[in-house]
Amino acid sequence: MMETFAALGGGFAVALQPTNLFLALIGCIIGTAIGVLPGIGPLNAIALLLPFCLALKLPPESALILLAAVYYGSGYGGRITAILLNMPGEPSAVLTTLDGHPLAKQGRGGAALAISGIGSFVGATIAVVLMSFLSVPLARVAVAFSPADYVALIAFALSLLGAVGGGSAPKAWAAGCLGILLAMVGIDSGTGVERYTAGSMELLGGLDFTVLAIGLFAIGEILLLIETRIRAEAAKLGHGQRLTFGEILFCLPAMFRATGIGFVIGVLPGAGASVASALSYTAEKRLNENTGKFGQGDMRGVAAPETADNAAQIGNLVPMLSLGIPGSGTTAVLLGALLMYNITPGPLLFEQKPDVAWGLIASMYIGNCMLLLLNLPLVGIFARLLTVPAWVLYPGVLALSFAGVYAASNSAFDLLLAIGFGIMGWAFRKLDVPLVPIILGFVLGRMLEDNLRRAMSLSDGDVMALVASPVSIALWVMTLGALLWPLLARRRAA
Amino acid sequence: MNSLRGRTGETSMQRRALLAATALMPFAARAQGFTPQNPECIAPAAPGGGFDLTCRLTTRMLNETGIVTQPIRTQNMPGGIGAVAINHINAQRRTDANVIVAVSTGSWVNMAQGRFGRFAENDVRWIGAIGADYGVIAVRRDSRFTNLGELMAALRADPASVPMGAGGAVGSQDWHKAALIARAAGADPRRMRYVPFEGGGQSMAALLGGHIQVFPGDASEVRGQFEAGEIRLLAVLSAQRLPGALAQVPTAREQGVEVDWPIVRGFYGPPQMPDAAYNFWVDAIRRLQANPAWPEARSAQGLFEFNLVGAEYAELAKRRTAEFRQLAREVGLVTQTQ
Amino acid sequence: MTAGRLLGVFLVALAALAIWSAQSLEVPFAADPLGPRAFPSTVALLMGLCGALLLVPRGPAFEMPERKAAPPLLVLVMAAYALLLVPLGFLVATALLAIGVALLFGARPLAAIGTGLITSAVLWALFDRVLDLPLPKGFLGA
Repeated sequence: MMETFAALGGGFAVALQPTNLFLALIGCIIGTAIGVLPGIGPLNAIALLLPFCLALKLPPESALILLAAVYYGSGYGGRITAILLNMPGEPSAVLTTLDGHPLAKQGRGGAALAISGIGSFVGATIAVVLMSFLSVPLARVAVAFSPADYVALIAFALSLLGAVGGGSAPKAWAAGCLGILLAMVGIDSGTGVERYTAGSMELLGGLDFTVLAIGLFAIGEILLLIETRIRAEAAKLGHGQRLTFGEILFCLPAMFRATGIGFVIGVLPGAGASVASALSYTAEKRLNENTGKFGQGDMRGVAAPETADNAAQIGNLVPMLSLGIPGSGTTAVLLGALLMYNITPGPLLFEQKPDVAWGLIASMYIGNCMLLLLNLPLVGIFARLLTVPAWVLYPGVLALSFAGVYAASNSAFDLLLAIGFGIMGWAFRKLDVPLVPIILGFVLGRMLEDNLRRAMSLSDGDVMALVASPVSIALWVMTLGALLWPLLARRRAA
Repeated sequence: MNSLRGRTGETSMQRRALLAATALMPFAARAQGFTPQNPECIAPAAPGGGFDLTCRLTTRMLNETGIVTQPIRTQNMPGGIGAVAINHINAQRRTDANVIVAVSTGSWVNMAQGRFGRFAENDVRWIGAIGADYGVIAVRRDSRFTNLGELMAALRADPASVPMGAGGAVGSQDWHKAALIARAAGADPRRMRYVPFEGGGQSMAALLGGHIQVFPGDASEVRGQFEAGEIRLLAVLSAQRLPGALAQVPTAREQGVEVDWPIVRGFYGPPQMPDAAYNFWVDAIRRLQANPAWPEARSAQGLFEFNLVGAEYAELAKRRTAEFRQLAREVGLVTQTQ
Repeated sequence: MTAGRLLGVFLVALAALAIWSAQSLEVPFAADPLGPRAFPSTVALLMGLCGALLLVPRGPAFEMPERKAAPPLLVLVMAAYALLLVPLGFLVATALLAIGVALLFGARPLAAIGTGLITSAVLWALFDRVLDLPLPKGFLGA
């Protein structure tokens, strides 16, 4: 314990150097901006910044502080378009649209942005504390999580799909299944055969999340907006009541729960922020079934997924820093950055390069404070986005979405695909088919199939392997509970 | 900005003149006949993918050392692990003198399996390799296998008894490492228990967690765990031992197993790239390899020295692709579209 | 036919297509016990069942838009953008897209042109210059 404090102190000495403070600030700003931009995620941003770090001859700890700030800063940015425009910028912000956008429509977009910023801060900061003290033992436990355990975890997350739909259960489930099927497009990793590609080369590598999300949400939303006359009420948005202290206190328990869920799931190398934000949102909804107005603008429905998202992002760094195992594409690129500085990522990092490892962790305490201070004053400015006339805002949003998709892929095919999904999103909205389960199915479906097939392959087809560990049994019991709960609740109500 | 660019241009002109004068580079004089205009490097991946870094970091070195004075921009073209890029080149830029495309052993595997549509190894001009990573056979530190022979014996007895896992699909370059070892052991690659994971990181987690017993990974990605004593390396799949921390690990050849697995990274150009331009780019890669600043930049990319340009590189690309095609036929991996 | 039924038919047909497509996969060898067919087929079956439940007439009719022509027009504008982006170049194509969308949102012509030009220039600067992700130059760059 004392050693940790001493090491952390050393880390702060590194992180508080003016250059590093400045880089952390720059990283936070870039990260927030990246989170807002559609098509360009933290993974892309880090890759684009890496050559700059090398060209500027930044020392390794400084480069890592900058790149990591971009990474966790992006967690603050994704919610902005999700809340204000109903367009999630990244997978984990999808849940935020559910209550965030209704709040914005009620004129409380600023309050929703503020509570999500506070949630992100709480989640990230507690996660950094946990990471400072428990990194290595946690990472050890995380690698013990087997494919069968992942199957149970993802099944549990998916079993809550019905809860996010709001409307009719068959529609929510159909949407979820459709999302899963969309995730099957591309080369099957188990056998190398092509599935659902219709012979198209562009689809070999599968569908891209950005293309799907921009289509379903951004283009679908714009198609829906354009068919009604221009709304006069747009101008009054953003002038609603500000976030009160009481509301923050009200959301605090939800934030703590979401931090726990987010961090634990983030530490697992095979899960991620999307699983975490989905689980924490649905957990809050279930826990507060009687008191909440989830889906119509509940503050906790914004706080929970955003808190879990940031906690999971930090959690994701745990296996990377303490074991050298990247849990996501983005942490893999961060790991690559370490490698470029001839720093061997892995278990010896903390001993061999304490400046880098602890400097990074210390900078995350500082960076998250910066992000909170940076974000709260910006809330008002962002919320004013909605007072921009529709004929300026939506052409801009659409052009930005297309530019983002095109710049990352250089493919007109992806643009056409996004337009196709846009038409689907428009039709589905009119038919009351919820879109969030499509995205969740898309993100989780591949994970579910891959892990199921891994588990079956490892057990040679023995289905009992799926319930071989206490963790998996517990998760399956919870899954059953989640599936049966609506039936029980209905009977009780009747 | 402009003055800066002008200055680097000047020094490189001097350097180029110097190089030509000393006649170290037989192609240098001929390459003078071509000056690239808005040169581009196509990375057949999204920003952040392996090809993306190959392009961005290599072109940065080409510009920084003054070998190429015109700034080279990186264009991302993900899709089908390179399929979209090779089709783009063949359909729209067959004679383009100003574009190079990042390529790796994984692309050869895809060419061999007919995944690039109508196009394969004869539809591009092979420029040169910039370096290679090497396959390794990793097991956990407490594994029952202490050398490659023991693993081979277990595979020979029952290929399904050893769960192996790596970051690529069945048929991918990661899978090939496992398949070639199994085949060398006299076992049928189709019967081995290969579990694909999402990237090398998750495979390593599965190895440390004891879910798989063998991880046929790449040298650059397992170095950290190896140095920390978390894993044991049964073999490196290179012709000679690797330098540095991995020097104590024997090659597969030393243990009597004729399996090499270099993951060669390099560039190709369009099929009808003019000779002057082709020679310019071949020469540029050759001079990059000779530059004193290159070894450090190369190992930063996780690559070992692998200097092969022009005709020799083309020969390697074609030979390897033919070998992969053979294996793909054997196990039935060639897709119907061929 | 009500909109709900139409959705049901769509889902059932899609599920059937997904199952048929999965079953007709040619698998070189069984690398894992489950194979590539089982999982998507099961999910498609579930989706088909949900679709079948929607065939029972219920729920809202497809609401007709106030401005019937606007959504198809917007789709047309977007599709034209996707196809003309490379030949026209990013700056021109994006300006045209933004002008078109602005007009559809009821902007006055001059305001729409202003929006279009500014949007296109800002995005060009952001992606091509700041982020260093090259965008098509089109005939302007030739």
